[in-house]
Amino acid sequence: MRKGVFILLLLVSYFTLCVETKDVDDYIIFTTRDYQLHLYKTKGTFDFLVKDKDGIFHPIHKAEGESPWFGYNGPRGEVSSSRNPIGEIKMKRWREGYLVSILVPLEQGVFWDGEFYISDDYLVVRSLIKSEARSGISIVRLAPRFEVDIALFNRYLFSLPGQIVEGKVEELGRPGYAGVLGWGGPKSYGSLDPSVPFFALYNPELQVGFLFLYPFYDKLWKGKHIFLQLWEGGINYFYAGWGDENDLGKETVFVITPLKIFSPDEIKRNVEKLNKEIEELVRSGGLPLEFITRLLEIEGKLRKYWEISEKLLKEKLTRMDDLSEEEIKMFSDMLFKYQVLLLCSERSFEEGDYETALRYSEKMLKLLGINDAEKMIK
Amino acid sequence: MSWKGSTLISFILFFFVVYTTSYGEVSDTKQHLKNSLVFAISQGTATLKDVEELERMGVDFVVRGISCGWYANPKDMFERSKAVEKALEEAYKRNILWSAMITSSAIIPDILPERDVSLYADRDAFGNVIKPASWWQGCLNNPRFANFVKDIARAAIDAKIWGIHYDESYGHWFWSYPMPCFCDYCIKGFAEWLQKEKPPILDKLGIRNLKGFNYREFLAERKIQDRPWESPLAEEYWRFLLYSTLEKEREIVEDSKRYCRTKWGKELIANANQYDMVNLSAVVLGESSIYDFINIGWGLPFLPHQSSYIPSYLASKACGYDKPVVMFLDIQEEPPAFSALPLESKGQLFRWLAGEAYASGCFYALHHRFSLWAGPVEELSKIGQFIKANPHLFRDTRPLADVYLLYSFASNIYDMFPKYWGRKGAPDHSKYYNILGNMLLDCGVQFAGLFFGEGRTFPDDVATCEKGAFRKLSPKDFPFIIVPSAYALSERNIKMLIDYAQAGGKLILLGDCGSRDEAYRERKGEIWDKISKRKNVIWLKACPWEKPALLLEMVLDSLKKLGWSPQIIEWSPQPITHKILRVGKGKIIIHILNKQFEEGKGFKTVQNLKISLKLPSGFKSSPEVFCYSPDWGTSPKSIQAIFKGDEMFLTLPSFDVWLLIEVEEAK
Repeated sequence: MRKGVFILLLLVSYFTLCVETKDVDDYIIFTTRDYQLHLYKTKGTFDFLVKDKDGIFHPIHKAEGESPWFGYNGPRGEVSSSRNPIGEIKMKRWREGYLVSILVPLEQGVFWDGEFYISDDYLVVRSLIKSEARSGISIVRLAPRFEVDIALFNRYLFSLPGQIVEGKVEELGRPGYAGVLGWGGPKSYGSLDPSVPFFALYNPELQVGFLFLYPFYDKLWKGKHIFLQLWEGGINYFYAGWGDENDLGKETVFVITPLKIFSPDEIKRNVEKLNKEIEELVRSGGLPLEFITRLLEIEGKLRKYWEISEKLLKEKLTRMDDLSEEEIKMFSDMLFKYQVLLLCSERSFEEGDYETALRYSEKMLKLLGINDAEKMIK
Repeated sequence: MSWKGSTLISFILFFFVVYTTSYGEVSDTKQHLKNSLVFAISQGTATLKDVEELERMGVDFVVRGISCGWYANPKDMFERSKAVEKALEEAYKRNILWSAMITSSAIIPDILPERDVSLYADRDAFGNVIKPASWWQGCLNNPRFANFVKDIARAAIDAKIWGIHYDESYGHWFWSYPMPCFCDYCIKGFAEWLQKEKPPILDKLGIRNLKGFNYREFLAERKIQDRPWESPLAEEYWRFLLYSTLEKEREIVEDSKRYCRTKWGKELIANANQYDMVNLSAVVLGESSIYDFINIGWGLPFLPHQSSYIPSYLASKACGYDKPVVMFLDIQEEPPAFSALPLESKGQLFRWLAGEAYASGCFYALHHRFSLWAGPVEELSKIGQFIKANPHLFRDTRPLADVYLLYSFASNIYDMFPKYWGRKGAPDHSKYYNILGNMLLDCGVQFAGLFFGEGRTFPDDVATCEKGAFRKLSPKDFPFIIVPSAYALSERNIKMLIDYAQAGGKLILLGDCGSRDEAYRERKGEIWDKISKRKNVIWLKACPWEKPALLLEMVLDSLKKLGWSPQIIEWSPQPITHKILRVGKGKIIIHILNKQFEEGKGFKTVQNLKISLKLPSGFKSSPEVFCYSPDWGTSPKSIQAIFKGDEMFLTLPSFDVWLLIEVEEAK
């Protein structure tokens, strides 16, 4: 009985997918309930179009300006996916819609590897710049940069821990910045709120807008630069997320979604919900992002190691008063070593070097007399 | 002289004395600065109420703001300063020296006599006027602009201002997006610089006659006006701009000082808007040699749970060993990190800022007001009154450090140059100093800054906050020295390190050290050959700066190999505080700063924290120890220490942010 209901539900959900596709010359059009996505077959870029109150679609990038691109700055300037032909493109169904995989060669031995999970309500993009370590690389664009029509998207809104920042784009001045780790003021801050990590651009009068959401912010996006830039010569860029040369070879994920409501508080509430929903979808395997599930698995293991070692150490600390002078000396030596290893383990984890973080935590446990950490947590 | 004549002179003298002394209590400005313990920033209004608030906060010295010279010509500056005369007079009476502020870099046509910015402004390598923002930036090498700045400062002095904050005199080209100036005056100055300096690169370039040498044309011939950093003379131009700017700044400050001395018989106290010196350019560090105190304008780039400002303070304090080092928040609007907090937690965050500064032997300027952001006076008063009530905790103390982290000005000169001027991936000594300093701090390693000058702006080779400037590093005074990729070092710097190691000093060299000289010229041969095989020297040639955890492990292993052991340990699985030791006559002061901060909420109270301290040899501590904290008021709490061998164990009373422990020598 239960199995029957499940199959029925699956069938219903499959046939009720609203995503429509249409193949035109240069690109494939995906039309969903609230947005349209044009994925180019010839170059590594896309158009994301959102509806206004009259049902008219507007691209999120300035129509005559630079469209979204991935890549980096190399010694000879910008290396951009939109200036390179696509190496490979594959499309298949995904439980919420379609999944399109794209590979764009950027330079000798460097590729942008992207996956677009297209669903009715949002677009999830997994992004990776595949490369060996290279020198002279900067501004690694894990999420795209594109030009924004600030006459159309005339307000910005983003989160900070405990609050939101909003305002009129034109009031930023020129050069002017709004977001996280911009190259200047007046609205440049250190971090988005990890529980509501988003940046939105919109027009409340025309009721049109979009936002970028950064799930697993603490693990994937902390320290990355996400900002709107009003630059010289009337150029306005949205930097959806960039890092440094250490981000070459690192996978990440972000979400683009159209805005349907335009009150900052309501946007924040909806984003919080959506963020939870997407993170849960990844955790449950519904959104098959293996690099995140692997990361979560290591994090779980690490936290267990940290927890066990802390408990063991606390037990030892309570017995400290009974120790002799000599024992105290030995213990303080061990305690210092332990604290350094814990710090190294945590720092490596923050830097995304999970294997090293595990190695340090195993060393910590060894110091406390546990030689097989894996066995211990089982 | 006739009776009438001498009476007239006596009368004039009498009135002059009455007039000047009746104006206030701040009589000896230099002494006043030396004695100052509580600093503030107050800019925006200047009323009697403000003076009362500053007094309530215990403030001795306001680093900037009684009158503001933003978009001002000399006449505006005089009028603005006269307009706040009542507050100024009252402040002086209450022993508060309140500095004015002149922007001295930003110009607009309206304030210039000719209404023409092109006569004053910075120009790019094409010769075009640069407009970096809604204003233009004057070039100090242009005498017209330098004189304009001098006149603004003189106008403030005319209105009895005895403290001036020069806001970024160095111009826009040293900011985070540098736009070096190539105006006619700079071009002429550069030709003269080359003539005088005679860098070897001139021979390589076949430049023998510098008469009529025009650097803009040199760049144009190579078609690199839009990328001047690609020029073979780029480093030389960078040096010229640095040294000529500092020279001009000194000239302006000296002019104001002379004018104030002549006019009022007072010593003008000058400061600049410097910046976190481990993150920005050499010019702000160089300013430390010009102004009366080091004044760091900071933008709150991180919070207590993220990082610490202490390594930067320690570098500044070593560099400015004979001057106060003050930090103020150069933020006009309340930053989100503050506005998201309830009032009491705002007070906590201010206490943390103060704690970080005072623990480093520096000062934090209480944020009374700047433009749209007024600080909470009651909360700030808790800090000021605490410091005023306990001066013995702050005066005449120095770091109780065994590790010295070297900070090289010669390397700092070129750090920003490659970083922002188109050369990515180049070494960054200042950044590495900061990374390592923060990691060491997290582990409780007690370190102090060891400042190495380059022989020009800082003529003495080396300086520390406790010893001042000197020329020999003795292993006794400096048990362990770490050199974090100081790629540029002067010949004398290198000799001192070699002599130190040969005398048995324990030296850890990290990465590239001294491969270039102070003029960025490559050095040939293996400079560390003489000492690198010694047991007391460890050279980690391949240094994983991008992986701080690995780096820390390597550095601590090296320290251990050389015989180092920790002086202070927190007896908990994970340290939740930063611990900084200072020493004074017959006492040790331990500053404990809580790191457990939650954005939007505040600090988590520290409870029952146990620490152990290895007492310095010969120091016998009294078992009664006093704990102080602005968290609970101005009076101390007494606790009992337990001794095990040479280690002292303390269980600390609860505190929120900043705890100071006074360990006195047993009588």
